[in-house]
Amino acid sequence: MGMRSALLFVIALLFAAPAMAADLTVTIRSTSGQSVRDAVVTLQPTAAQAPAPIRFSWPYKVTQQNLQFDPFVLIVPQGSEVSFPNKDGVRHHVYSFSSAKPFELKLYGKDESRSVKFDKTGIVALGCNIHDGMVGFVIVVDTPYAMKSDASGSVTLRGAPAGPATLRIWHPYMKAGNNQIERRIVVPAGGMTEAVVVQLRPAPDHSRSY
Amino acid sequence: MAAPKHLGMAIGVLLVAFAPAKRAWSQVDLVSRETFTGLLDLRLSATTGERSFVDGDFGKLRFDGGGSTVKIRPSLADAAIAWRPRLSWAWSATVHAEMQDGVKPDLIQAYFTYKPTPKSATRFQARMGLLYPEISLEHEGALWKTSYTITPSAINSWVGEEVKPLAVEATVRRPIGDHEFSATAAVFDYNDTSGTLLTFRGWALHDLKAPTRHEWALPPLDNFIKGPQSRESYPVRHIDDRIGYYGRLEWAPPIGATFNLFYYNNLGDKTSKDWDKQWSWATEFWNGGVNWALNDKVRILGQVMSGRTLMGFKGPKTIWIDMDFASAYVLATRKIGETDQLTGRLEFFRTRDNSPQSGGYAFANRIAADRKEDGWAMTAAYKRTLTPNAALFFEALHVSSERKARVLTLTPQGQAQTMFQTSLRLSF
Repeated sequence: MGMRSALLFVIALLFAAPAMAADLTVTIRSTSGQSVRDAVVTLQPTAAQAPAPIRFSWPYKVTQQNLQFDPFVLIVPQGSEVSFPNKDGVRHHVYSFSSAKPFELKLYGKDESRSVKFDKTGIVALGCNIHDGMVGFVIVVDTPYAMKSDASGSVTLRGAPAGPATLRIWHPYMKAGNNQIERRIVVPAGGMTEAVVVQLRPAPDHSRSY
Repeated sequence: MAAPKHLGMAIGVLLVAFAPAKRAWSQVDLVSRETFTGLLDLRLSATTGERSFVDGDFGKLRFDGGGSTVKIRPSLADAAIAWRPRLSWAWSATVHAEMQDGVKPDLIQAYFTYKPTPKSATRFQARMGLLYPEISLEHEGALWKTSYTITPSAINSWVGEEVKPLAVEATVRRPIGDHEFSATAAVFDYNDTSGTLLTFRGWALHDLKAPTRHEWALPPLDNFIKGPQSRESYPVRHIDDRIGYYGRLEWAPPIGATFNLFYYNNLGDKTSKDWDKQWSWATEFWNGGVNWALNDKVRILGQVMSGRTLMGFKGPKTIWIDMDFASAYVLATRKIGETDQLTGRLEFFRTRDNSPQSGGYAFANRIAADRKEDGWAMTAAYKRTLTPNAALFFEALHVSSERKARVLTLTPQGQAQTMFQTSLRLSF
């Protein structure tokens, strides 16, 4: 690289990079005014992205503990290997019939683990064939701008590129087609805050078993 | 006594038939710690009023009342164990036995469950063996224990004592849009005496479960029926050669509520009997149920049951026994904090005798043979979960009823009982 092109590159970095990376904060409330946790917010910039490996800061792991999947919702990049350790004193039988990844991990016990590679994007609903009350979701994405809402119903996607993009908000119990709403937005260079109100239906009651 | 022998054989045959293929051995778990669930129910009760039906009287409750005074009774109300071996990835079994205070130790349930891993949103499950059909909204788990109160409603008390068939049952479950539907169909036998206790004693409120080889005591019988009918009723019996059936539909719209409708008919021939003077009753009933979670804390349950039971030959005017029965309850329960739960329940029950003349011509016996009953009950319960393996219940229950047949014990037709109970449930 010559001196001139190096200088140009630095200038480009100075002007372009900071100006084009924005923080997008989304807060999600239900129609009854409550903060909605475990809503998955993804941003898909319209402009083509340089392909780069996507990596999230949280572990790609769904633990079975106290007859529940923990976390209830896990976001992973496409192609990830997710482990399913069992921390319960009883055995579990994890499965999904979702088209994004139908699989079955037959019975395994305490302190054992199995893993599954999620090679297609989409929503993968998890169940345990022994314990009908166990419900969980793996959300497989191909964008680095994805996160689930915390207890305050809030998500901040950092470093999103300014410009037009599609914002999607998904929640397992959202009253909407595919449990998802979609908005076309233009992310301003200075970042933005978006408030979203969603309608939720009550979580299904699988507590009884005969 | 044919039931347990056949049952044992059936279980043996099925165990062999469904012995898992070699490669699936890792899915088999016959006797690990995980396959056993047990429970101890330590009880302290204080009861007024009549002597319990358990002792062959007309008392509506599990424990004897002290008449106008309170009778206090500490007891090991229940020691229960369930063994749930896993036979393959889709097959498991449940064998459930109990030692209940007031009933001889016995097998309670014994059945296989077939539950393949769902391949789509349509789920399938089958059960076969001696089992409780899914009628009660108040019971849960392998040990079929009450969830909210110590004492279940009159409806589910009766299910516990006389609706336990040897059944083959299949259930299909599937969501359609935001709505979830399930349908169950079953054929059954060994429930031919169902209706006997309900006819001669009337409705009751207790948490006892039908023994399999043993019997319920019946209250004194009128002069006519005590000839052909034993004072003991065996709830699990095969008397006529007719197969009964039941069916259930459930609908869960996306509003936090589940509605179900259940129909049972044992198709008894009414006139067969065995050497123990047990009869093949013809019993049918409808049960409708609602389970509504208003929010995270409050839940409303309700059931309505209406049915009819017939037995015997044609008497001077009508068949020996032709009785309608009906009951309904509403239960409201509220979680308090992380560990506590407060529950209230109100219920009504009645029976109507369509054959009061069947007792013969003597006037006195006509009253004694009239199975008419009207009653109501009110229950309040408080549950505290102490640890995942221990729970403490407090319960107050008042039941009031009018029954003509009480003339047989020379007691007034109208009777009321009040009971306070505390129960410590320890599970492992």
